[in-house]
Order: sequence, then structure tokens, then C-alpha cells
Amino acid sequence: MGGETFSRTKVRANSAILTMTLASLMIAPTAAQSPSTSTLLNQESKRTEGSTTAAQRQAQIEYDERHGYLDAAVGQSPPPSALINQGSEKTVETARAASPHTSESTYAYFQDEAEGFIAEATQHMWDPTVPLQKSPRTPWGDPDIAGYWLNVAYVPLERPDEYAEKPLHSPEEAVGAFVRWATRDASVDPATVHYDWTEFGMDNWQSPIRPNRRTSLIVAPPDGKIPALTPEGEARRQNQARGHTLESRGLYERCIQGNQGPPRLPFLQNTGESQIIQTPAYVILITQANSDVRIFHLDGSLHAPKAVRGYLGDSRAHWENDTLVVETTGFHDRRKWRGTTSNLHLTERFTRATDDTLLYEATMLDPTTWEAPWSIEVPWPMMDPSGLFEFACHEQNYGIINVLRGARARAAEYQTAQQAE
Amino acid sequence: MKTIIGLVLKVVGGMSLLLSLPSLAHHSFAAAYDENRPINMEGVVTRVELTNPHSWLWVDVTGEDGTVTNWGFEGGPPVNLFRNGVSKDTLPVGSEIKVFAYQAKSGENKGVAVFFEYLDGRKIFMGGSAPGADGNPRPNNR
Repeated sequence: MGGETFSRTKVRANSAILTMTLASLMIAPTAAQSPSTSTLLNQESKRTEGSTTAAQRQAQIEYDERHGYLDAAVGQSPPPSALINQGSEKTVETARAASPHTSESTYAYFQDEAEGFIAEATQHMWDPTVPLQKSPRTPWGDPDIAGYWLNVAYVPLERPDEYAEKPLHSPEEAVGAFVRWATRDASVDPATVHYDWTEFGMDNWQSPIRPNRRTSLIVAPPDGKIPALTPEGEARRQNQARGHTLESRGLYERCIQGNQGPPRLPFLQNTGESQIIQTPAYVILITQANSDVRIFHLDGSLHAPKAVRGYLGDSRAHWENDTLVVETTGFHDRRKWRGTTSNLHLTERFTRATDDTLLYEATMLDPTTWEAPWSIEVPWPMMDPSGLFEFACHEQNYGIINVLRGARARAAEYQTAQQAE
Repeated sequence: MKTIIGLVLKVVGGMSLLLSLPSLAHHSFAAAYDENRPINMEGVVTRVELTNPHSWLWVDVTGEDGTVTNWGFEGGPPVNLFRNGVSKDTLPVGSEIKVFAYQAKSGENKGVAVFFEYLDGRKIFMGGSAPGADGNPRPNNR
């Protein structure tokens, strides 16, 4: 159809690369667990009757995870209206027929650049079994963690079932997984993309991301999975569904916060830029997204009173050998992060692991939300090029208008479809 | 310029498995845009907005009956474009481009762009410059 306006150039990509691309799709962490649309719609209607089964809840969580709700929205349910049409074979066929490009032709466009990047990145694997170097020091003698760091990862948050007994890849396997992820990233399927991320320079392979021997970012509990939600955590999570009112949308979507944490979990694209500034009394973490600033007090002062609540919480920090340990409490109940409340106690650790790597560790403790604490470990490569740019989210926020209008249109469509049944 | 809009407006009752879907950007694709309305367009750039966290390109599209309609297309965040040397002057107003996008769920003349290209197929934000552009700064009409 529409593709006819363009000169269609068929380019055959390297067949070995394509095989890798397909293989990488096969190992996508949750690809094999996708619930059907009907399951999800049934699940939604049953949920309103209060009779959702554990299996259905799990299906919903997996659905959310796969849709990139990696941060605030994980565990939240999209409204039923948002589930119509998504990812059906028909939709995928339609998009592929309409687009003048294919995954193969797009990869061919970027192939030289991508292969150069992969060759370079695979020389710098993150290996958690290698002892950390002695940290460089500031002029006043503290470990030096200042600089520009990128929160980025291909490794999935939770460990895929196929690696249940395998927290670490062999170095060869780690490189293989990395090549598959990067190649898939650079092969832009018109049916599965929002933007051509590569054209906008924000695919992970265009960042200083590196192979990582870990099979999940979660390092505790040992199974690499988020612990079970408590019943009240589960109830909160379900109440955080995104709907078609402004207030139901996430803080990130509404330009209130740039990241859905803290803690900081990697997003699916190369958007985790941050800067650390150090003084003897404070360490300051600035994230480019929404120009958020967190101030870590090193002066031994007490946490702010409980009445003082913030989206970013209240942080106090100290040095333990070469590591900055940051304790954060006082989170606002209005946050929408995985069903947590102001009870969340967050411990983050920042260590200069190598000259160009900052190791970020975070432990989430909230007994009212999860049955156990859990921890992640993410190596942040040094940004190249460095520097942050200003966010002006409200200045041009057509997005939330489009989201709300679209969500209402979907809701109306859903109701019409239901009435027709 | 010719417009060919591939519109497929069918509620898919199919019960097929969900395939790998796009990861979310700042604003929800799923809520705002319609996966069943992929559109191909060619047009003339009327406005370039590069403000984080989204870029927007506005394009005059001439229909087969000669009617000119202004369309807006959302693109990725300008930050990474800046890092790649893209500026507000990279794409001068008046450039002829083509777009593959998904139309807004609301039915408005808006979409989210999968890619922007010059008519010769070069990707606009991958180091290409507009054919005929002299590289000198030009006033934007914003």
C-alpha cells in the first residue's frame, strides 16, 4: 500500500547476522511466556469481579514487563482499552506491508557502524568475578566517583528461566548474548518499533554499553527474580493501573519525574545519562531526564522528619572504604513504583570499579510490599561524549495530550466492541 | 506531493499471541498511537521543534485533490541528536522529506514517526544534510 511511494531497495543482510537476530528473538527473556490478548482481556474483566487467579496476575506482570514497563509501571495494568489490537498478527502484517523497510534493510543501513561498535565493545566486558581496582581519590582524599555515567544494560532485570541455575555467563556466552542484543537493536522492524531508535541515536548499541557476564541485573535473591508481592503490595500494584485520566498516568509520563525510581533501573534505550558532582560534604547525582537532582548528605546529619516526603526521598550517605553508601527513606506515597509506599528503604552503593566504570548497586527493602528484600547490580560505563542537556518536558508536552486523547478513543472502542459481543 | 495513506481501521478480534512489542519511550505509544494505522507520507517541512524529551517535525502534505494539510510527527529525544551533531538548522524549513509513521489514536493529523528520510532515502538524522542546503543557519518559522 503506502510503501509504493518509496523506491523499495531490497538489501540482503549478512545471513549469519540474520541468524543471530532470529536467535536473539528466541531468547528474549519473556517472549515464550506471552499471554494472548484474550487472556488479558478476560483477566481484566475478571479482575473487576475480584476473582483474578495467581496465574492471571503473573501473566499480567509478564505482559507489562515485556511492554517495557520496566520501571514505575511494572506490575501496573494497562487499561483494557489499551490492550486491543496490540501486537496481533494482523497488526504486524499491516505494518510490515505498509513500511518501505524491513529489519534486514534497516540493519544493512547501519551494519558497518553496528559491527564496528560490537567489535569495540566486546573488548571491554564487565566481569563481576574480577576484583575491583583501588579507587582514585579526590584532592581531599575521598574515593573519586565524579563524572558522567550512563545507566544502561542489555541484561534483563530478572533472570530468564533458561538460566535459572546460571547467574553468570561464560565470557564467550556473554559476548554472544551481547552481539545478539546489539544486532537486534540495529535491525529496526517497522512492526515492532515506536521510533527508529537508531536514527535518533538512542539505541543502546550507540552508547558505551558493554557485554556483562551476569544473566540478570538482580543479584539477590539468588534466583534472580523479584520476590513475591505481599497481598497489600499486590493490591496497591493493581490500584496503580494507568487509565485515561491525567492523574492515573505515571509521574514520568506527566513530566513530574525523569526516572521512575529511585532506585535507578536501566530503561530500554540509551536514556540513562547522569552526572555525579562531589564535595567533601555532599555528593550530587543529576539525571538528565527531567533534570532531576538528588543530594546525598555526607555531614552525618539525621534523616528529615517523617512528615517530610519527596518523590526522590531523603538521602544520607557515608563512605565505606571505596564505596559511597546512600540510605534513602521518606518517599512520597504518591510515587508509583512497583506498589511500594513510603515504607521503602533504599540502600544504594556507588563504587569506581575501573577508570571508566562506576558500579551501581541497589537494595530495596519494603516488607509491606515484598516478602523479601532484593538487590540489583548495574555497571555504569563512563559517558562518551559527556555532558547533559536540559529537559523542557512541559514546554512541548504534546505527549500527555496525545496519550489521554488516544486512551479515551481506545476506551470508547473497547466499549463498542464489548457491546457488539 | 502525493499522499498515500495506508489506513487499516479494523478492530482485530484475533486471539493470536502477542509478538514482541516496542519498548516504551517517555510517553506511551500504546495509548497515544494506533498500531493499525501505519502511514507513509511525503511533504515539505514547515517547522522543526527540538525540545527534550521529544522532537516534533511539522510537514505540509498535499493530497491528491490538491488540499494541503499540516501534519505533526513525534520523534525521539533531541539530546542524542545533539550529541551526533544535529542542530535546529540541520533540517531547513522547506526541505522535502518522507515519513513512515503511525497515526494518533485520536484521528488527528499527528503521528509517531518510525523514521524520517530525504526523498533519496538517506536518513535525516544520521549525518545527512538537506539536498541543496548550504549549511548556513536559517531562520526557523517558529
